[in-house]
Order: sequence, then structure tokens, then C-alpha cells
Amino acid sequence: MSVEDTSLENNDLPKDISHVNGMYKNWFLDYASYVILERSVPLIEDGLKPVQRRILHSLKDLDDGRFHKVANVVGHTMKYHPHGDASIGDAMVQLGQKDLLIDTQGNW
Amino acid sequence: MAENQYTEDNIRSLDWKEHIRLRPGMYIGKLGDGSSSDDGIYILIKEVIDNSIDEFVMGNGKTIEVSIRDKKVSIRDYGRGIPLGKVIDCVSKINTGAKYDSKAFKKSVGLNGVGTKAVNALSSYFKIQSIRDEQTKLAEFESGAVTNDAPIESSSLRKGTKVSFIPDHGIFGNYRFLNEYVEKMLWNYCYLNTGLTILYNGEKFYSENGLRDLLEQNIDSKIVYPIIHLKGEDIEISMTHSQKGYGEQYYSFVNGQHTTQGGTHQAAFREAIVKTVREFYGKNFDAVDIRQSIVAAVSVKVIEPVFESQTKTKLGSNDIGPGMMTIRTFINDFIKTQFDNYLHKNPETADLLLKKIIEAEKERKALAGVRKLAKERAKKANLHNRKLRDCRVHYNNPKDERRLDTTLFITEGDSASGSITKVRDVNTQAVFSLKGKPLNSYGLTKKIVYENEEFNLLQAALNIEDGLEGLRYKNVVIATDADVDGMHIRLLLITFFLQFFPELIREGYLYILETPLFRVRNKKETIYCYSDSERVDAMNKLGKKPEVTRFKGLGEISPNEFKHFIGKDIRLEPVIIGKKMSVEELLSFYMGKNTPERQEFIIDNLRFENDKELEDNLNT
Repeated sequence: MSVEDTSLENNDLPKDISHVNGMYKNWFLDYASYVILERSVPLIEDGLKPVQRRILHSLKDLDDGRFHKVANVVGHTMKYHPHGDASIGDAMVQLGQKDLLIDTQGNW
Repeated sequence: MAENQYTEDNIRSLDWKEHIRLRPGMYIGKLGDGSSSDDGIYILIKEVIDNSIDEFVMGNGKTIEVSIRDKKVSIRDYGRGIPLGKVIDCVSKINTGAKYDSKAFKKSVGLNGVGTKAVNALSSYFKIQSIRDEQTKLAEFESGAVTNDAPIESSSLRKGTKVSFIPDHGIFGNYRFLNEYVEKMLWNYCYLNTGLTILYNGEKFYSENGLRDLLEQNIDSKIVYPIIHLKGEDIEISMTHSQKGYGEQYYSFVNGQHTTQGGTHQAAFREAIVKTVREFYGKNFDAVDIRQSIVAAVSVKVIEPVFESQTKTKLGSNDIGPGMMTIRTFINDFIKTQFDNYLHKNPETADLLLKKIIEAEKERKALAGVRKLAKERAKKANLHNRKLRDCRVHYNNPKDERRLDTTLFITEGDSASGSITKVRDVNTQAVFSLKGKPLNSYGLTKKIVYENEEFNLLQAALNIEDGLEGLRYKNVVIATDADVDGMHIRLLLITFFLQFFPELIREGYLYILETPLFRVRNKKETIYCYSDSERVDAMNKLGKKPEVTRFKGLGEISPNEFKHFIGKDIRLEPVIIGKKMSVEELLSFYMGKNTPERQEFIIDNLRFENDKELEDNLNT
């Protein structure tokens, strides 16, 4: 009888876990990429941030030739924008103050 | 070795197996699934290696081979081998061993002849082979019972002992070995036994300079002066001060056993350093200033050590041997002469140390004002820490049986903490809720810990202002949403801990809670999925039209579902500092100023989701 070879049948080595540096890299890239792509940087094709595009889209949805309450538009936009209502409201105020795309009434 | 006979011996040997399997805690501490470094499966490895180390200490076999593959652990040493006639006794008869009266073994940890037997009883498969005098003997066991008792044969192999075992799933549940912990343990063996080579899965572990190497490998920031390494009979120390970093960092060992919670020897060391420094400089420095950001390793040998806990992580003995001087005097004397001599011989080091101490004093005084204010505020916080929903049992209460289960969940926002609060175990699980994102604490001084309300309350909840001794929870779990903002909060929180309480991470108290991203269900079955690929698998499995819910935040998981995610099947990912990188660099790169390098890095590695592509990949 002989001692069995140490290199055993299976190559399933103990699990290597990601260290803090791996975690940092992973999470940081997730977050940074998301912020860049989905939040803060306007698209080169139309110059709009995602939230702005979503507001315009819901305005188009709601359009019936009359003024709409801001709160309603915000509520509708939340269908497309997976964040809080405050961020949508703020973005809409910004758009409205440019006085280009949104016909406003009242204090903006 | 009478398998089928019913004799008195049989009854007794059944007893030991059953007892070990019934009360494994008495032998190996806690069970655990391998996600914590003091879990039972690592103790099993340690018990076997300890024996091989004893052979090495006796001058037999400079190499130990360790391999872990598919949960099967094999350890081969080249010592003298167990006497062939007693092989089975040695691993299956409790209180059997050669270490009872041999003087050379007196200063070893395992003295009771229990270790390998415990391993045997707790393994679903256990094999031992001993080779000596060109002969070999092999035996196999299952849960401690002999299944194969091979006769002695002649062999041409090198002498030594080989042990293989697979920890029993029935006892340890669904465990996994984490490389990090195994490697750390093996390194510690190498540091404490200079000249020893350990081969782990083909990788070579070897240390030339003992504890000096330990510090060199574990220090991640710049040090103030070169490492001081002093050796005496039955004692070895190495120490330095790190330039950045708060708190004290000790690696203490007794007879080769890593005492993670310190004990009398560590306390004596801390005291001795302060005393010697005060006498050397002739100034009455504050002890806190002298020990600020000290990094030290202490190893002592004690005859018949007494530990405060079963897991041998805290030394309790007062004397270095029965009827001998106290540990305190022993360490004090050694440091007083050796360390003092060293400082006299190395005036540059002495200067650097002095500067460091004065600096620490200055900083502390600057902090004093802020701290006083914060203390007053903390007093209020102690009475009512409004971010904290506390549990009944606490880790710093040694009398409590369940102290090892205590967990603090740091949650993001009130919605998540609501769910957890509702379903938690009020005895052991506490909740701390953050509001929004915490401050990026990189590059800030410790002042911020007191000034920022959230940090101050968190520190008060953990009770770690004066070091880890008072820590109130065994596990500190970051429970953020699994979305990108949750990732960001994790980064910010870990940055906070790395900056001001690195020992919390270093000693393995910090974890990340993994929660499912998706729930896929049809009328019969519900599957929780932790990743996109799991989701696609589950959707294929459940056939047409399953209901898929994405949990955007923890708040969307209803409380009774949440119960499973923080209950017995909790999924925790430990936060571990890797060996090969500097925390300082890591933090300044990711959390520091927005440098061109970081921009490049983001641009090169930009991630975007492509659902369709993922599904295509998985389907093909």
C-alpha cells in the first residue's frame, strides 16, 4: 500500500474570497458606471439626462392639450424612473426654468 | 480493535465518539460554516497540524504538506510517525498521547490527547497512515468508527504521518473552506516555527525571521522606525509604530496558539512597553500616547497554560508555570532589559519613537476639546441612541451564552430597518439605521468621528472608542440594498472603518449581508435569486410565465420573507483585508481626490447592463 498522491481527483480548491480591494473595485465600478450612464451625464444624441428624457416622455403620454399639474407629471414619470419623487421634481423644475421645452404656469 | 466483540472497551469508545458529536463545542469551540476564522472546520485542521508541528519542534521533518480539495483535507508530515501498533489508539481512544510526561512537549498547547480524536469523530471520512522503519499502517474511519483496519505492510516511503479527513456535513452543515483563513493560519505556524516549510496546495510557506516577517507582511502603511525584533528564552517579540492608523494592533501567541483576544501576556506586554519607554526617556508620557498606532507581535511559551475560553483565544494564566514567576514579571523583566538595551544601542530609533509619541500627544490634546463635547453628547446617546434598536444580549458580557450570536445590522434608510426590526431575534440582533449616505471620511482626522453625528452614534453603539475590548456585537453586518447606491454606501462605511477602526475589519468582525435580487415564482414554487444568472436559470426552470419581482431595496422585501434572509440561512460575506496591498493606496485611489488615473480607470472599465446579451449567453 502506498500513500496516495496528494493531487486528488477533484480540483475544487477552497473558495478564494474577494478581499477588500476586490470589493472596492467591484462596487466602485458598479456605482461609478451607473452614475455616469444613468444619472449625471447627458447623452450625446439629444443632450438629455435620463431623468429629463423620462419627464418629456411622460409629458407626451399625458398630452391632451391642457396644462397638467406638476405633481401628476412627477407621479407619472415615476413609472419610468426608479428613484424618488423629489429627484424628479427637481429635475423638472430645472427643465422648466430653461423655458425651452416646458410650457410653465405659476411659480417655477 | 475488536470490532464485533461486545466488551467494556467498546462501550467506552462509543461514548467518546458520541460525546464529541453531541457536544462538539467542548472540543472545537463553535461550529460555523467557515465564514469566520474561528469556525470549527479550521480548528480541525489546526488540531492535526499541531501534532505535525510538535514533530517539527522535536527536530523531525522540516516540511509539512497540506492540501484541501473538494472539502477533503490532507496533512502529511515527515516526522517520526506514530508507532504502528498504536495508530488506531492514537486517533480513536480519548486521552491517549505521548505528551503526558515527555518534558519537551510540556510547552505545547494540546496536552490532553483529545485533538485528533475530535477530528476523527467529527469527520464523515478519516484516514490515517503512519510510516516508520520501512513499514506502514493505515486505518480508515467514518464518524469515528473504524471501517478499514489494514494490516502492517512494508513500505519504501519516507517516514511520517499522513492524515486525511472530510468534516461531517451532518455536523457542520453546508460549510466551505476560505483560502484566506487557511493561509493565515499556516503563515502563523511558519512565523512561530522558523525553518519550517509548509506546502499548501503546492504553494510554499516559509519564514526566515519569525515574528519580524509577520509584522512586515501584515503592516500596510509606512512604519516610523525599523521593526524591533527581540528574542529570549520562551519569549519572542517584534514591534514597531505605524505612521498612520489609530488604535493598537497586537498579534499574540501562547505556545503557538494565536490568542486573538489577548489575555494576561498581552496585557503584561502593553504595560511593560509603557513602563520601559517612560523610564528610558525619563518622562511621564500618557500610556495612550506611547501605544498609539503600535503594531506588535508577542509569542510566549507557558507551561500548562490556562485559557479563559474553550477556543483558547484568551490567555488566563497568571504564572508561566506551576510555582514559577508570574507572566507579568517575566515579560516585564524581559522588555525592561532587552527593549531598553535596544533603544540605547539604536539612538535613531529612540529619536523616531520619541517624535512619534510627542506627535500622538499633540493630536490627542487637539482632540480633547472635541471629545469632551462628544462625550457629553454620547452620554445622551447611551441613554437613548435613537439610530439604534438594541438587542438584549451583548458580546462584551462574557457571562451570556449567546454572546457569540450577537449581530448588529447597519441598514440603509428606515424602510429596510423596519423590516429587519420586525422579524429580528430581539435577543441577539440589533439594528442601526443610517439615513442617506454617510460622509466620505477619507483623509479626515479622527475629529470627524466625534463631530459627525451619525459616526458618533455608530461608534457609541459599537462601543469601540477605546478599542475592541468593549465591542458589543460579535458580527457587524452592513445590510444595504443590493443596488448601486447600496454599493456606494458599503464603500463609504468600509472606508470609515478602515480609517478609524481598522482592527474591526482585521479581526474579522465586519460582514456584508447578501440579500436576493430577484424573486421568481409561480403558483407552486418560489425561488430567490442572488444574481442575474441565477434569475435566468430560475426562469427557465419554472417554465412559462413566472412572476419575477426585482427587489430594488431591502424595503421591498416583506418582513416575513426577510426572516429567512437573516435567520439560520443568513448569507454573509466577510470583509477581509488582502495581504498584498496597501489600504492607504486603495483608499486614496477610490475615495480620494478625483485623479486623472481614476477617470481613466472608470472609462476603461465602464460597466453597462445588457439583459438580452446575458440571456443569450446563458441559453447557448
